[in-house]
Amino acid sequence: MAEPSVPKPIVRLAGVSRRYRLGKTEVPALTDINLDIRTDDFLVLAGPSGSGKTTLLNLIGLIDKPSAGSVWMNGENTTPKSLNSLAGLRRDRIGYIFQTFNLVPVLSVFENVEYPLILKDVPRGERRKLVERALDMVGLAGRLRHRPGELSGGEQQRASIARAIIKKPRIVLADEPTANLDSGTGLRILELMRRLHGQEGVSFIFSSHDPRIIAMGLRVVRLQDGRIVDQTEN
Amino acid sequence: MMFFKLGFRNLFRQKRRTAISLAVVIFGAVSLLLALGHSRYIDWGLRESTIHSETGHLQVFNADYFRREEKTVLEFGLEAQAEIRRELDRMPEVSLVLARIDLMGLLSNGDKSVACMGQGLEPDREMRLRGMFRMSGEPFNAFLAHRGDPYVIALGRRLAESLTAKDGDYLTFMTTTASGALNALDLKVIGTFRSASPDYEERAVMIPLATAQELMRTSKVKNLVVTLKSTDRTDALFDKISEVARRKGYPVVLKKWPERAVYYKQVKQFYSELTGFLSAILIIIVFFATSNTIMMSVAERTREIGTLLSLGTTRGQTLKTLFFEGALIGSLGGLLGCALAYGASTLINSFNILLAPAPGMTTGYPLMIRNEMGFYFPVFAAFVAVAMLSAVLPALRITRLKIVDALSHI
Repeated sequence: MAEPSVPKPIVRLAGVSRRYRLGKTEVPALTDINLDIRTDDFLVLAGPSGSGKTTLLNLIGLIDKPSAGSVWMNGENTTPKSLNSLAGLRRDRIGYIFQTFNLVPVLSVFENVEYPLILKDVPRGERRKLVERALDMVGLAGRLRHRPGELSGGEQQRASIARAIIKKPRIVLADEPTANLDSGTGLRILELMRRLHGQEGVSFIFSSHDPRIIAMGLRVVRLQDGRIVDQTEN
Repeated sequence: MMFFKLGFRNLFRQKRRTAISLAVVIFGAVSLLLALGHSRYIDWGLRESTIHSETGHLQVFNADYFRREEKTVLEFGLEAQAEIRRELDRMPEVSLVLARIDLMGLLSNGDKSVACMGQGLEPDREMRLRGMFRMSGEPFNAFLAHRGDPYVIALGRRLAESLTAKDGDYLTFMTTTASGALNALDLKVIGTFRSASPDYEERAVMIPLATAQELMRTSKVKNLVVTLKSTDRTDALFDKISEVARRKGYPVVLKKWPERAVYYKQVKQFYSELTGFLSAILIIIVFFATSNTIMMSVAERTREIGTLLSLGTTRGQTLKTLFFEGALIGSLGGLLGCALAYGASTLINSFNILLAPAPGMTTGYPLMIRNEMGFYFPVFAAFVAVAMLSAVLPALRITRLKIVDALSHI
C-alpha cells in the first residue's frame, strides 16, 4: 500500500544555529534546528520566553541569518545571500504579522494594506480590488480611510493580517500575534487566521506561549533553550 | 509614488520640528538673498559710479603711455585727439567722448600755498557723463554758469577751507608746463565740491580743459574717456575701436574700465569673499538643521523602517523617501525664503536707509537690495540640494540598520 503523500516543504531549516554576541560572550539562541515548513501548515511555535521562537521566525522570514546551517526556500539555499538581496523573496513569498501590529501610522488602513502590492508593481485598478477584498475578508471593509491610530488593537491586527495575505504569500509568519490583545480578541484573530489558512491556502507559522492559542495550531513545535524538544500534530 | 507620499506625510508627524527646520531654511534663504542682493547693489552702484565718474567704459591713451616713463608732463599725452574723437562720435554705440588732463601744482591765496592735484576737464561733458552719479556739491553747473570765463577753478571742500577761499576769490595756480618750465595763472573760485574721500577733498581741484592746456602750454590731453550706451557692449566696442585705430594708424592703446578701476576691484573682491563666507555659514547651518530633523525622524521610525524592510522594501526605496523629505523641506523653505526675501528687499528699498560712512569716507551709502532673478534660482536650487544632502547621514544609518534590531527597537 502506498504511503500518504507528504507536501513538499516551502522552507527547510537544516542544522540551523543562531548565536548572538553579548560583549565578549556568545549566547546561543538556537541550536541545531531541523524543521520543514509545509504548504498546508498551520504551525505554532510554542515555548517560554527566551526559548528562541522569535529568532526562529526571523530566520524563516529571511530577516536574519543563521550562524550555522542553512535555510532553504522552495529548494533554494538562501544562506549564502545577503539580507538585502533577499528583499525580493520577502516581498513575494512571505507575509508578516507583528505582535505590535506595526502599521505605518501616516498611511490609512487602505494604504497600509496596499503597500505590499505597490512593491510588487501591481496596477492601480487591480490593487484597489485586491485591497477591498482583503479588508472585507478581515472584517474591515468600513474602515478603509481610517488611520491605524483610530482603530482598536484587534482591528489593527486584522489590518496587519490583511497586509500580510494580500500579496498571496506562500507563508505568513506571526510573532505572538495575540500578545497585545485581550483573550477574546486574540481567539477571534486566531480563528480568522485559521479561516484564511483554509480559504487562501497560505501556511501560517505563529508563535505563542498561551496554551489556548497553542491548542489552535494544527501542528505544534515546542522549543526550549533554543532547541526543538517536541513536535506534535493536532 | 507611495514613497513620495510617505515622505510628504512624515513631515507632518512632528509638526513643530518640521516647522523649526523650515524656519531655518527660510531664514537661511532670506539672509543669503538679502546679502547677495546688497552685495550686487554695491557692485552695480560702484561699477556704474566708477564708470560714470572716473573711468568711462573705455579709455584711449597714447601707445607709449604704459610702456615708457614720462620725463616731462604729458610727454606721452594724446595728440590728434580731435580726429580720434570724430571717429568715436560716429559710432552709434558710443554715448559720450571726453578728454582729461591730470594736474599737480601749488595753489596759493597770497598767504598760504597748498599742494594740490586735480583735473582739467570739459564741464558740460563731465556733467553728462556723471548723469545720475553726480557728486555732492556739484561744481559743473558753476562752470557752465561761467562759460565765458575760462580762468575759473572749483575746489574740494576741505581744500577751500584750508585756503579760506570762497566763491569769487582769486587763487594762483602754479604748475609745470609740458616743456618742464613753471607757469602760473590767477583763477577765480566758482564753487566747491565734496567727495566720498576726505583725503581727496583736501587736495582736489578742477579747471576747464582749455585752461589746463594753456597753463601747461600744450594741445595734448592725457586721454579720452569713452562711455557707451550699455556696459555690456564694452568688449565688443573695445574690439571695434581697436580695429579702427589699427586701420587708421592711430598710435593709441585702449583700456577697458575694469583695468582702470582698482578701488572697484578691491571692493568687489571684498564683498565677494564676505558674501561667500556668509553663504558657507548659512549653508552649514541649514545642512545640520535639516539633517537633525531627518535624523530624529529616522530614529523615531526605526521600527517602522524595519517593518517596511521586512515587507520587501529595498533600502534604495527607503532612502528615496528620506531624500524626498529633505528635498521637500529644502523646496518649501527655499520657495518661502525667496518670496520673503523679495518682499523684505522691496520694503527695505522703500525706506531709503542710509548706512554709516565706511572708514575713510565722508558720506554714508544707501542700504539697497538689488533683486535679480538670476541669483534667486541658484539660491533656491542650492537650498534644495543642501537639504537633500542633509539626508545622507540619516541614510547611512539606514544602510547599516539590521532588520531584526530595527523591529525590536523601542
